[in-house]
Amino acid sequence: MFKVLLIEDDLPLVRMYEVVLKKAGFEVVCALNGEEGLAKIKKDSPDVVLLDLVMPKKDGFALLKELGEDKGQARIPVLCLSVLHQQEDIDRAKHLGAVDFLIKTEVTPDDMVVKIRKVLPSSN
Amino acid sequence: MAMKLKEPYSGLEQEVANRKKDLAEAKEVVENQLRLKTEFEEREKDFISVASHGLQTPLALIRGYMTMLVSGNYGNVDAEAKKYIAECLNGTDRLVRLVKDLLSTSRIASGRLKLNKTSFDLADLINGVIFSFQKVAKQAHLELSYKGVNKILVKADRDRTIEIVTNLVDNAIKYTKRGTVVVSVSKERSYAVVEVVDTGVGIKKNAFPHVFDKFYFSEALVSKQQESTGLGLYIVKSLVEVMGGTIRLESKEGQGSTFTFTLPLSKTNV
Repeated sequence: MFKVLLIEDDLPLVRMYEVVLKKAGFEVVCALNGEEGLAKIKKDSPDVVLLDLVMPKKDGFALLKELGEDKGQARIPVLCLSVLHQQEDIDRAKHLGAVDFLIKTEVTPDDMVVKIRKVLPSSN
Repeated sequence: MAMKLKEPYSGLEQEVANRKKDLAEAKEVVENQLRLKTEFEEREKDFISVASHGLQTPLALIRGYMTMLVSGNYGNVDAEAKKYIAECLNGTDRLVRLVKDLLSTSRIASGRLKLNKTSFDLADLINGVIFSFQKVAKQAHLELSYKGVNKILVKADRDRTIEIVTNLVDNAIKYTKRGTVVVSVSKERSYAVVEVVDTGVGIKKNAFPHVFDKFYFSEALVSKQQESTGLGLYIVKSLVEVMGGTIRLESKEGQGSTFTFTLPLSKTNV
């Protein structure tokens, strides 16, 4: 079973995404801010990270930057999930290493699952 | 003689001291004003960020759960309930569009719009937008096409140009019951000239001065108001102008409209 680390500060959204991800067969670990998220990446070794960008205590951009600079950290695919939709935000996230950028008000829960599966190895 | 020289000299010293004091006070006033301007801009930037996030996050939540319900994967939902949920989804999508348009409007008004000007083929861009609208045009039984040069390089922000063309083509389709929507591009001096011509309901002459205003809604099809934020043309005009172009409207009620906008040609065209 693949493990998804969901880094998101809005609790109602966390609950919704948890329902969707568990129904799709993923194990779900949650973090409510960037600092907690970085700690759980190291502790829980998720297979994929779903990362909100606008958060207190280290935002998603700062987390991406730190991940990219940590040569000791194995590369884990990070999908950004945000209400930000300006092209400059999308470009910035991808430049910092995000493999995809999902806009919360546009992507459906099913689409989100499809995008997550796309970045996971198909053998499991 | 030495006494005579001393008197005017001491007056000059006082004059200089007074002028220095005036300058120091004027400098303080200017510095205060600059500080207030910066604080205002920072507060507005915060407002835009907070409003954007604060409004869109609950919309994402509502939309997410509605989509889950209508999928039928989270419990049985009968056909009638699905219809009502679909209406809720439509409403949510309208709100999302409105928030995005309000944010664009706010960025434009505060001068915070960031442009990334590059040289690109406008004909290729327009063909891409037309391709994306073909399904919608077909469903509306309209003929949507491009006429014009095969290649024309402009110097502009590519994403904003997509936004302009998308808005105009979307409007043209919305307000045309039958016939055609044709987009054409030509060169005129140092500008690319784009025309979006429809055979739609047209616009009353007395509405012309207001068409590019914020929250302008066409009287022609009141029901269409539900699909419009009323900000599209204001945003289009603002984007065209900030990229160095112009926009104008010609229209005849009952016959159709032509929106014409210009963008500066790229120097590499020459």
